[in-house]
Amino acid sequence: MTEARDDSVEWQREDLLTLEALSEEELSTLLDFARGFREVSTRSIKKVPSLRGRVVVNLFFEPSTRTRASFSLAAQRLSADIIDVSKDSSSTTKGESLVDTAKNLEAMGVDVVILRHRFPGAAAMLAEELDACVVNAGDGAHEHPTQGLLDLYTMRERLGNLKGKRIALIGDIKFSRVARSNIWGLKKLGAEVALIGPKTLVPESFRDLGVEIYHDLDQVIGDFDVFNILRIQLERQGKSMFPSIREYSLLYGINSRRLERMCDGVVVMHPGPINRGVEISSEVADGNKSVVLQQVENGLAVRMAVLYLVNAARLRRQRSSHSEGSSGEER
Amino acid sequence: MALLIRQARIVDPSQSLDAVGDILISQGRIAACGEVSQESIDALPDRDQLERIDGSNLVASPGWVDMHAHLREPGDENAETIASGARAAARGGYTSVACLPDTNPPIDSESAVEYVRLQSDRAGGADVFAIAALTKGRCGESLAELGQLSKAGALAFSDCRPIQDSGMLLKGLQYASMFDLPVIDIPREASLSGGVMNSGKVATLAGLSGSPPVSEELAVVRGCLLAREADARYHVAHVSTVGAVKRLEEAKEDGIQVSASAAPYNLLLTDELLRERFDTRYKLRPPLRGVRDIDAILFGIRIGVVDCIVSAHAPIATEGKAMEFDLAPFGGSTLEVTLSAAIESMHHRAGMSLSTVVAAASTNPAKILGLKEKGSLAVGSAGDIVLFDADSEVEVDARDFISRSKVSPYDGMTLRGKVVTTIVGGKRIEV
Repeated sequence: MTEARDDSVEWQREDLLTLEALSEEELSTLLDFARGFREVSTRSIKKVPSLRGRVVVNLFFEPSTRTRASFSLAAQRLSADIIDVSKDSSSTTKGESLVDTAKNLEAMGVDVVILRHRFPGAAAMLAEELDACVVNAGDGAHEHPTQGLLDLYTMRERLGNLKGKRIALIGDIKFSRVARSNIWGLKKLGAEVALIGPKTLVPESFRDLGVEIYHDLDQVIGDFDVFNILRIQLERQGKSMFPSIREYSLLYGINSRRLERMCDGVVVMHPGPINRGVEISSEVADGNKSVVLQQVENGLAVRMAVLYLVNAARLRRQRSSHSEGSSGEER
Repeated sequence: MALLIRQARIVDPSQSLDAVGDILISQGRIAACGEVSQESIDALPDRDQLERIDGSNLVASPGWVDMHAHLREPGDENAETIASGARAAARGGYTSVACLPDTNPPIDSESAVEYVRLQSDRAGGADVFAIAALTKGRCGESLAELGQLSKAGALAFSDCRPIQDSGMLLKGLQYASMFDLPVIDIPREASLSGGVMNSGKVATLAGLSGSPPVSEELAVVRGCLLAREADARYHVAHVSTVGAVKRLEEAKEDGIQVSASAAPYNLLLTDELLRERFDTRYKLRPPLRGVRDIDAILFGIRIGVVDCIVSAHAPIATEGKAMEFDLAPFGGSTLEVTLSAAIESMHHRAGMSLSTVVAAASTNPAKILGLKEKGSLAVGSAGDIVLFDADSEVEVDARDFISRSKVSPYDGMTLRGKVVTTIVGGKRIEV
């Protein structure tokens, strides 16, 4: 086997759709690769040739700054060609289906499709239809695996091994794909997860996954090593799930008074974009407990690792089927 | 032409019959059932054209009667027509089908009801009857002309969607009761049922919106109270929850004239099927729920609280399902395999007698719809019979359906219970 020396050989997935599907080993492989790629960002020439000649498409059907730019940059640092297709510029506005749009792009030789979509399962649907790798950049309220990974990466960077560490996810859990990816990833790495928020935003059925649920933030505020503060997703809520922004902020907003009551080494995270003064105050967001910008930085390395690994898996499959093909059989 | 079925296991709950015997059909009707003497054959006017069918090892039951099928014509003929639906039904052992009025235009006029009957006569499959809209245009604002619809042959009234205005539902029940026809309600409280699947763990993890069981229970409670108020016949379509069964039991104890049905997919499948993949085949109404719900409905059937089994046939053109789960329409093609699904779930898995299954699938729905000659093999009844092998396995492949819709929640399943011959009005249907 020609690739026997490749570390990525343990990684077999050509798509990254969820963290739910990953094993603990796969998660570790990904995070270890991300650490390797983190180093690339410190070089004077921030580019490696791993994906030279490969084409990556950003297919974004929802607004995004951070994730989209991060994926673009990650692809560029791996020397891939990247094209951007957004909702307004795509033919879906003319009634073309998502699968048709993606298949057309694939016909142009796209190797990786990065999909952001408002409906859960959209990435899984594409993965089934396409030969190209599919990376889920957020599908409705389902999962956002690369955000989950960069959160895990950042927590590990701060706290080391996450086994037994207490992590609180606070805010809009019901509509949050970040919450779901965090829960799966954290549970797999052995952390204890708590969800904090109003009853209307924290579905009871999460308890089935072995997470704790609290509605009174102030009662448990000293108990956690990490607060991952989720954005209130006003665009995903059909009707208001709580009386007012003011009341939400008073009950669950993280401000400096609450920060003082948290434990000493607490790490404050937020996946962005931040609603300043709603779920987090500016002093906290910009303060010394906050790792918000490190998260963004780590996101780049994580996405490089993801793009690299899914591509490597696909290439290996293509090569092995090619070598089978050359031994006589017409494919 | 006359037909003689020999040595079949005759299961006919209308006569409390479950025994091996013969059935004689002549001029479209049952001429004898149980023991058929040579004299009775000799006495037939059409004895010269007697066809014999060997029924050994087969069950002969009155043809099944479906009171809940969408046949899509007029309006969505890519998904189904009355003809394709009638033939699919016959292939599935159904000899009568009451089709729902949510067509485009809706069945809310005499001519629309007559059109259904006309297309049914042309189809040469199961007999198709119309359920007419309760309100004009199914808009829930003013009553359709129920008297005229009833005269034209409508068997029941339904808007195929929740009637949010309780006053309107009450009026509909009162008015329909003048013609002794039931109102069929779709049990969903609209403000709670906007989800695309059952609410609960699976929906939460998938990030999909859920419709909670309480939505169904609320609707059942409201409908039963209004039926009591109107002293009218009220039918709850396809119940799927523990709560609904409980409320129906209470209502029946209180003497309310309520009946209910269930679809076999709600007896076989749970929302866990949506755990791994967002498979639009399983986007159904009512949604797939949990194991406790399945047990409750089975219990409801056993104690007679849930009266009928329905196909809940809701054909969707194939391309209509190949999309994001949130966008895909609800439904699937079921008529051809509902018998198998019912025998598998109720008889083989839940251990109910074949009599119980046939009562729920034929005798009871015929009674509810007022089809006096259907749902029975008593002498003089319509010559509508299904012969099936209760133990033989069927591997469902929706691509082979006669139905124009090739999307089915049963696709890929192996089910015990196989239709061998369907006879409608004394004629064997070749499909």
